[in-house]
Amino acid sequence: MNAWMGTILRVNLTTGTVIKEKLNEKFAKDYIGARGLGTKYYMDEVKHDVEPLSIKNNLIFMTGPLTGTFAASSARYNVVTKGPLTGTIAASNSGGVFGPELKMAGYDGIIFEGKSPKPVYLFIEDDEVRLEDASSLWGKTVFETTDLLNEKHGEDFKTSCIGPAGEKLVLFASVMNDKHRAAGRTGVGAVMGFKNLKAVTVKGTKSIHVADPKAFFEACKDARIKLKANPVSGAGLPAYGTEVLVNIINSVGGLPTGNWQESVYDKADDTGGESLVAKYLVRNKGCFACGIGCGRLTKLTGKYNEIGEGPEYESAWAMGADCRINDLEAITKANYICNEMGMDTITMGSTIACAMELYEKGYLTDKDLGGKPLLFGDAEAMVDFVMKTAIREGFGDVMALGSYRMADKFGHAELSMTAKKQEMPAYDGRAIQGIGLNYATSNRGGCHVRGYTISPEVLGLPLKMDPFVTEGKANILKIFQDLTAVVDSLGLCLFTTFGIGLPEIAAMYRTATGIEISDVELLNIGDRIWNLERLYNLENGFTKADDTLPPRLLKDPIPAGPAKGRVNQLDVMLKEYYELRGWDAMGVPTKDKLKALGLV
Amino acid sequence: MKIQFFANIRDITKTKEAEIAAPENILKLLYLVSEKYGKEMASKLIGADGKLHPDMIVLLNGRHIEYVNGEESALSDADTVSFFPRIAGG
Repeated sequence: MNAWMGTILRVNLTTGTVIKEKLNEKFAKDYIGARGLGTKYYMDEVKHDVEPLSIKNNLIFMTGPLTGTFAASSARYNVVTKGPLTGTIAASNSGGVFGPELKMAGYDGIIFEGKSPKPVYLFIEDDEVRLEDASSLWGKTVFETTDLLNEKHGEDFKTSCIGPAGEKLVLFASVMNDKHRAAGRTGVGAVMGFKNLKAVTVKGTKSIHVADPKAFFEACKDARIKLKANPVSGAGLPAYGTEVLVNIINSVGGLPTGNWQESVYDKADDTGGESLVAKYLVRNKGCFACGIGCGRLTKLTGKYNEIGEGPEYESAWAMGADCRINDLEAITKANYICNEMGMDTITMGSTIACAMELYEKGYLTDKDLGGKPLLFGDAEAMVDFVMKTAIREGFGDVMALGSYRMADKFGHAELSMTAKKQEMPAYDGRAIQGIGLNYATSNRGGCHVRGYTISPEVLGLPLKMDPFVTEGKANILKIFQDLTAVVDSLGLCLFTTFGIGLPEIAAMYRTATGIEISDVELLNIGDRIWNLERLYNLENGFTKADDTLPPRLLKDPIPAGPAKGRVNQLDVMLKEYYELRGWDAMGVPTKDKLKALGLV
Repeated sequence: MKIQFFANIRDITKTKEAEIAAPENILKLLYLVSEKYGKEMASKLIGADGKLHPDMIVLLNGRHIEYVNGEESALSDADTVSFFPRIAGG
């Protein structure tokens, strides 16, 4: 096969065996790679009712056919499993250089089965693959683990690993690679920790063959030129990173503040990309083959005095506006802790914000919290609880369950700002209607990068849509969800879609793989992947009732700002969305739909 | 009225916001702001057709002007207009 390496590593952690097996070519053609291919393998091999943290659950690392190629921003790999935070299918992707390195070692992906009796890591140097003892790495941070593996095996090795949070089964632990890049959401790091798998370290020296090198080069060049010329991918993101969104989302009245009690934060500018660049930016950082370079290498000069990466927009919001904190140094420090301990920043910040509201309303007491108050705006307490959560100390042990289980424990699950038990990111679905529909229908729970309708609704990309109206939102969301499934499965960064679209993406796919497929047929694979994920969740008992939002978004009008008085009109959009998807009124794909997609 | 600047627009104005007397509408505001902050600002704000540059996002009291009355949107001294370049993230 071209573009795919043709080999999957199957690692049984219980027995310690490693098998190299041929990639299932039909799976690859039907589900592309990374997110889609990983999900297909996962669903074929693991019973749907498996407990996420159990020996019978699998954990899959999967690259895509464009991962590691000349295609722009082709750094991504996916971690696929059942999410311990959500109970849904979990596919969490990450950039950096690890994914390309895995592919250049000769492998499209790795399937981890079972559970090791002791901590181990997987060593890969091209054809040489073995499990090694990781006892000395257990308890180490992400940064320490990465450095120790580099000291032992050489600087050329790229590492994906968990930190202490994954070891301690924090339900939103992330899998971290290249120190600062995160497969952050749904708790995939806890599954890795349960398996006693500390890390994968890899060095690859092989070439990735494409079907038509000249045509592929031209397709990639065309995409790169367009990305460079685009004001977003060529100028805005390189200059200010994702954090530049803080002010515009706040200005339209959609920046959730104080655990979503308001949607405008009067101190938002203190936490935005402009402030980050002015105060803390050292330089930009890009992933493999990326000309955008949205990553931020930052240096704190005050009491924390550290160098690290980030924060990204959603991280800065979760630990900033959502907690009513405008101390960007504390926010950045909290982000550093999440990276080195291996935790999802969105769920972490949102869980603290939820605890702050529980405390404000008297549902949590000083005693519950270990003798100290937890007030909105308390930056020091926020940073303290991030670390306590990572090591599950004191009330951090409860926060490690995420906001839904925490709030439910104190009788107020309605104050958890989650969809399918995962915290929603930094855009208020009352002020921006389509993103609310996206949160409600996302196959992995509250998530913005399954169907990023912020592009048309706020940024005017690739077309302008009024954020207040519901008309047309179901249609654009379906297209975005399907296209995103394709992009994720190819191994491309979603940010490429700010500058290029389906025609450019399909051209790269065709010339890399040699598979003759129309643009529409490629998009239909995205539809197939979306429905496959939906089927998994339905098998696990999710219903229409789970395609919803917290009561606050449906019933409590925004109190002030440009979107004052609005709630999310989910019912209207959801009905249309189901119809466009070819699902029945209960959100179940019809037989005709499944047949058309080749899923029956 | 209040005018606010963000991202690389702020790099030109060297200020986050300013108070000015409200002109009649957004189009007149574009020219007023261009005059106040110079040629570089004008090149960002005004396109080749003499209207709003397509790479600019202009909000009137938090609403994209397209959903108000475009460049004809009337202004008063109580209004806030925010200027953003074409940006994204997520």
